Amino acid sequence: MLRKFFRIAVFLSILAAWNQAASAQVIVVRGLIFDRSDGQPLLGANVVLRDLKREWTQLLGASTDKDGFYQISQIPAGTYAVRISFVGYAAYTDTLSLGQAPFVTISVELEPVAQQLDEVVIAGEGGAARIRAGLQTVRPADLRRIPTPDASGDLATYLQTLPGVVSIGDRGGQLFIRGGTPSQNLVLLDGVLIYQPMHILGFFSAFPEDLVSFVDVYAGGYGARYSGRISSVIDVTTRDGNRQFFEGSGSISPFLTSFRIEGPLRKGRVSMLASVRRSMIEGLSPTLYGRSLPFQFGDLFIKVQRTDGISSKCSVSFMSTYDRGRIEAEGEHSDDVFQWNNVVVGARCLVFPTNAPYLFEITTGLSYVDSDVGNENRPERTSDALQFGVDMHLKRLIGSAQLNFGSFVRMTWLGLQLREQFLNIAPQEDLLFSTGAYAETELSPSEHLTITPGLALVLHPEYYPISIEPRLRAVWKPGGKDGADEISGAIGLYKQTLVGVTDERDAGSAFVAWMTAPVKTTQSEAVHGLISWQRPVGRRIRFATEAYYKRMTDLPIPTWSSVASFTTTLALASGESYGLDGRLEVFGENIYGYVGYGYSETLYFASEDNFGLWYGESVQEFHPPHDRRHQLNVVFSLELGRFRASARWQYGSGLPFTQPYGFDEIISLRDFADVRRSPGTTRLLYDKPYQARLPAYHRLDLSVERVFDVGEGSIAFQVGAINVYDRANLFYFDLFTTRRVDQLPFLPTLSIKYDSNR
Amino acid sequence: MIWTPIKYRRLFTVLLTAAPLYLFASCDTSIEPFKEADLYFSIWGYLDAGADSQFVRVSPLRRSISLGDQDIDATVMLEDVESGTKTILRDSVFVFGQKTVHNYWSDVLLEHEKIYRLSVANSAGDVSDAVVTLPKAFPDPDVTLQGGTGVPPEDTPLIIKISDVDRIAGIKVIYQLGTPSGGVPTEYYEVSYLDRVVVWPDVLAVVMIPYDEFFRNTFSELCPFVSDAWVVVASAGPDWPDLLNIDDETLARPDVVTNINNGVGFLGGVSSKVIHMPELADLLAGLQNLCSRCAAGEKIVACIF
Repeated sequence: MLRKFFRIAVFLSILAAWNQAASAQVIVVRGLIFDRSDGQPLLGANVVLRDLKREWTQLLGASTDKDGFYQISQIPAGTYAVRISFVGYAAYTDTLSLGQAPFVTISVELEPVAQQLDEVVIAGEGGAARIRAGLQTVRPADLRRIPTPDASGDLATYLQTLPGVVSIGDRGGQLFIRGGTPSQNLVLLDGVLIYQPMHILGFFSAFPEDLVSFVDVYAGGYGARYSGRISSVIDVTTRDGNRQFFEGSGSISPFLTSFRIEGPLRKGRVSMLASVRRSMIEGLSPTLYGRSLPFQFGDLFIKVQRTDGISSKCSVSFMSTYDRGRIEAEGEHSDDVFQWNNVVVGARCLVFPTNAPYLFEITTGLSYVDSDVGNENRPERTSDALQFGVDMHLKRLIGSAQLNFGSFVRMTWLGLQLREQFLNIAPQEDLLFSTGAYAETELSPSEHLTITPGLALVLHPEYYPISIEPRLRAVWKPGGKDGADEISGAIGLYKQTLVGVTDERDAGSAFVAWMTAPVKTTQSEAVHGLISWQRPVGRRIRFATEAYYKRMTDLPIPTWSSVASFTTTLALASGESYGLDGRLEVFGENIYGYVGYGYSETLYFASEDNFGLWYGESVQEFHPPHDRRHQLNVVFSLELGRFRASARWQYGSGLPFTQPYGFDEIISLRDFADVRRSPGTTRLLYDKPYQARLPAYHRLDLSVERVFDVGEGSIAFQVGAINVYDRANLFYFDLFTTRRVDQLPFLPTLSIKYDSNR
Repeated sequence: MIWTPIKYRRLFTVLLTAAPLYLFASCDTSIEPFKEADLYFSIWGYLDAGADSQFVRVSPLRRSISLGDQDIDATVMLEDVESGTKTILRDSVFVFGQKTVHNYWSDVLLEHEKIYRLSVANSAGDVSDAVVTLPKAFPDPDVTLQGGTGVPPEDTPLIIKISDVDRIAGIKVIYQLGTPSGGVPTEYYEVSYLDRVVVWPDVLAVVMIPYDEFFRNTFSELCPFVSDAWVVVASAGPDWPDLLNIDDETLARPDVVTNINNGVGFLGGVSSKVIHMPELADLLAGLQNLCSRCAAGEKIVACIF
């Protein structure tokens, strides 16, 4: 296996060397583009070169990426007019003479000129209906439009408006994306893994609007850069601190208080951003709402970023989160306290050497999560995972083609104590070493078509075979570069060695046990295929649709038992998920509207020895508890003067559950028990798994905000309500007590936020 | 069809209009947690041609984990299929800690190799029933304690020889736990030894090692005082399943081991014999002191074994 890996590594090296040779005779212009007002990198700024001596020559150009980086290659020597523009900013123009130097750097700070336009531009660049082969880029403006019970938007609330993203309820912090489970989602914080970033109250995550620069959400079909998870990628890039001046904000609401400060440590070069949030709801809910909402959560984020303003930027970030809560405030399981903590420490550097054609990115980070459930002081089950990793990425242009390649090394320590919940999993500690590499090339054989084939390799020296994961993404624009229609697609193979196991029999369980692939050392595997089509209609309407199919194998699931017991064993299931999304967005100067509909079907196929006896078939086909067939989201946002009103209505068809016939007591006839001396063992007689459906879910959330200027800053008052018409949405039904646990009822909220930077 | 902005706006309006319709179409928030099925009663136990009374556990298939302590709506009737003779079983309530259960009983004597039908009906006319064939009679088993002191490593095996049976339904010992001074017995404890059966030609036997089996395995060195003991042997009728080869999980399935029509559970047919074994109780009572010393941590030879 090692030999095979090294052969492939040699192949990649040769590819890179060829790449180096092929680029020797070109002139490359590249640089970083920032916002002058606060030093933030600008995503999507256009850089255009026009040959001043040959007017007929086609323009050369590029757009900036998430770091504000652009690169134009294969430029003939000559004199060029340079224009760097971004809507809402004063364009930068200059004249450039290109001659002997093979690499020329132009890094610029653009001055914002029309603040009101900013909102429209952001909406145009982001938006739910701008989806390309499973990828959607989320901006802070997107988060802001979704009402939350706090003064700021949040990624968790936003993600739940996307078709194909299923939340079991408003607590537990679990998101299922297109048939995948939460532990199959790869969540990255500035390139570093974060295990369980969603907070226990489903409105909130570790990513509030104030911290997010943008988020790449791949619902599937992601490229070779990402490996180790089989469902989706949520790649969060946080904002840099303001490099020009200090600013901050503070907010308070019944759910949350938050405080943020940012500013230059060295003006124009080094900045810091710090944010701390702490939940209030547990203490205030009995007084304000007359009911117990036993949830505590919070997070702390610190980021220090440095840039030379020309060719490099580096950052160090720290995030710590904690969550603690009882899924039930009262009842049989009210002593079950779920707790989890994340700690992430990461560093990321982006640099393009002045004499080399590469953009070099290195990320190193430490990710830790501990999760436990049970009595608060003596948890029944605990799971710890600690990962240290170094990732390197190189990017370069060769003519119209772009080559991305990189490698990683990761060391993961796992500790597990399950108190026999999963009977075939012993308490264990494990150390998993993995290394890997990837390469992908973005090719544009014509003006209409861009294809990105890629290959990811992952090597685990022990236990598992080498993972060879081919990927392909493609974008076709029938009308050419400026055409309205865009059709894109992706296909790929994905494997996951480190799996998170939850007890799917318990809808309320937020406990994730992280372990290496637990049954027969078989990695979980998925094949994704998807195709999407998007088109703008005029300037204000955008439509997108996407169809997808996922085939999954070797998923660890709890086996079925008709005995009402805490313990179970793990078995392997295969599955498939397919569906169709439709998204429509309307942008106006003051109005935003979004309708998203998702149809999906997820099926698991499990073979258990007893199934044959029980059902007459050894392989059972069933819908897992996160299989939501229909989903509809409507978002509406209106700005009138200094007022902003937002509404979000969600509908989700009922989730599957297993219907029992009833209870009885088993008498052990094997022991020839006498009914006069045997009380019997209580049994819950189940029908086939997940054959019934819970009631449909729907809810309306509203908020109205008014901003007042106060000195140099502003104060925003927001009133709102969640579950406006007090729908009794079922969270889960406890069969043992025949008691239903509902999601949050109608709750009015008031939040106040002061922002020092108007 | 060409999609113009106006048409998109119309589509958007239609979708916005449709949203409240969805809402009203989905107003029902109730849940039916239990599946409707023609399963009325849970019936467990066995009809015993060797016993002077019959006890059968009956409960409606209930929708709460709690058993409750109220009467149940059930009429239990035992019918000799050949003769048509019918007997109504009477209800009796047994309490086990928090559990209250209903055992229906009758002192009717049953005959070997006959077929009986037990039916349970509620006032709505729903009926669960089972048809049971009782086994033939078999000779009294030969039960002996064979030599030795019972003190490890010198064990004293208990040999139970049974002959002329087609299948064994159960072999167990009922221990009466009490006080050394001869006070009121505290409780009865049953231990099944069906898994110790060895099949010889025409003979089945059980070998038991009193000290290890009883004190270490059964009571984990709690060292109870045994005041009396009985060996119970039962042969099974033709319907009796091979329980030793079915795991607990499978046994708990509703459809695997059942002969109840329109219900769940299992009603077997057996013929049992009870052999009083005071000598076994005496042996174990004599070993109690040894057990206590081992439990206290003494390093005597018996404890090592």
